[in-house]
Amino acid sequence: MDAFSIETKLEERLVLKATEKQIPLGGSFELLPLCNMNCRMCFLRLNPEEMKAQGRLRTAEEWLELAVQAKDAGMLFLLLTGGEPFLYPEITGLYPQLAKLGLYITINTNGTLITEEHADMLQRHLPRRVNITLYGSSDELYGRLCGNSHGFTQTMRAIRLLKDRNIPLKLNGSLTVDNREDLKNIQRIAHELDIPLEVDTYMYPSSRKGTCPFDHSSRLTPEEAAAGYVEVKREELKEDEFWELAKAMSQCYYDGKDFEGSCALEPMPCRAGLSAFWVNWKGFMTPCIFMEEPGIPVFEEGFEKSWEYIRQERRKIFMPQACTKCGKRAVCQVCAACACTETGSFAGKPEYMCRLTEEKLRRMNALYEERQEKGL
Amino acid sequence: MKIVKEFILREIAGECVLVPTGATTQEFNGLITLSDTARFIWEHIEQAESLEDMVQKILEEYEIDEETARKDAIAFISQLVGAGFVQCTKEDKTW
Repeated sequence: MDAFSIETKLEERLVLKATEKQIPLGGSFELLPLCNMNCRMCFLRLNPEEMKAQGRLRTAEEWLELAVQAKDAGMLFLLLTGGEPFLYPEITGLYPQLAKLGLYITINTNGTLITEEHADMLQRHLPRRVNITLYGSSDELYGRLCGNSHGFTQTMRAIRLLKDRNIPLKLNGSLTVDNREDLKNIQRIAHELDIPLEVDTYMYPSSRKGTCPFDHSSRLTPEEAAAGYVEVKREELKEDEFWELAKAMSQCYYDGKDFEGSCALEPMPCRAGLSAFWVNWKGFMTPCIFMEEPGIPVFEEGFEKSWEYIRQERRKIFMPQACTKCGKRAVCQVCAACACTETGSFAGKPEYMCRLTEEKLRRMNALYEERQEKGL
Repeated sequence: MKIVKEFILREIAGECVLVPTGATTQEFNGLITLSDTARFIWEHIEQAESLEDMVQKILEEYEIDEETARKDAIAFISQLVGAGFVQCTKEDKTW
C-alpha cells in the first residue's frame, strides 16, 4: 500500500529522485484502529476497549506536529487511513490544518460515515484523492462480509456526495471468499459511476500484535485468486494491452528458469524505508503497513531520528534467496512483507505467492495459446 | 503583478514544486515543478514593478544575457497569466 501512486512522468521523476536520496516523500498516518465495520479479513481493527488496553489515539495536534516535521524532511504525499479515518474524533479539525501545509493528501475510507459536512470540508481543499473500498454490490453482502447491513447504501450515498463536489475518487476492491462472485457487479458499478477501480487479488495474511490472528478462511486459495486476477486484468486493460501481457506471461511460463548459481543477498526492492514510511496508530514509524518491526516511537523520538533509524534498519532486510533466483520473479508480486507475513520470516519462501504466480502464468498462457490457435 | 491563486512553494529532492492549496485545488490539483529561473520569477513577481524591473532582477541574479532573461520572463509570465495564477495590477495591463 503506497502513500503515493505514480500517475505522471513528473511524479515518477520525483519518486525516483527521492528514493535515490532517501527522502521520505510519501507518508501514511494510520489514525486509529477503530472502525464502524467489522470485515472478516481485517487484520487491524480493534474495539475501543481493546484499543485502550494497548495504547491511545494521538491528538490532532500531535499528528499535525508530526506532519510538519515530516514535511520539513521532504514529505509531499500523505495518506490518511485507519481503521476508518472518518471515525477519528478530530478529523474535521485535523484535515484542514494538514491541507494548509502544502501536501497532496489521499484518504482511504470505507465511505459509510461520510456526511455532507465531511464532503464540504473536502471540497474547500480538495484532497489528491479519496479511495473508497467497495466491498460488494449489495447491503446483503456488506452485512455478511463487513457486519454492516446498510453498508452498500451508505457507501453509494458517500460516493454521490463526493462526486457532486468534484472530489477525485477511486474505488478499491479486495477479493475475498465472500465477495468473489460479486466482482463483475463491482466492476459494473465502477464503470457506471465512471470511477477508476483497483482490485487486489492478493491478500496479505497479516496480523498485528494484540489483534485476532488472520482469518485464513476469508482468503481465496491461490488458484481462486489467480482466476480473479485474470478477470480483473481483462476489465482493467485495453484489449491490446491485455494480450501483450498474456504474451509476456506466456513467455515467462515457458522460459522463466530459476537461476542455478549462488547470488548476493537482494535488498528490499520497494520504496519502504527509502522514500516511504508508515506511522501506525500506536505511534510507531515502520517501513510499511505490514511490518511492525523495525519500528520506532516517532512521537517520542522525533521524525528526523525515526526516519534515520528506519532507513538504517531496512538495509538489514533481504528478500528470500528462492525469490531472488526465481525465473518467474518478473511477474510475481512478492515483496519482503509478503515473505514475512506468509512465513514469519523475511527469509521464508512464500508458498502461497508461488502458487498464485504459477496459476496466473498457467491461466494467461492458456488464454494466449487458445488465441494463437484461432489465428487471432 | 499579483498572485491570485493559493500555492505553497516546496523544495523536494532538488525539485521546486508548486502545491495548490485551498480553493485553488478546485481549479487545479496537479503537480507543477519550476525551473530555477521560474522559481526566481515566482518569488519576485509581486515585488517587481514592471517587466523591465523583473528582467533586471533576473540579470542581477543569473549570469545570462538580457535577451535570454527577457525571453524566459515573458514566456513564463505569459503561462502564469494564461493559467490565471497571476493578474496584472496596472491599469494599462502591461504589468
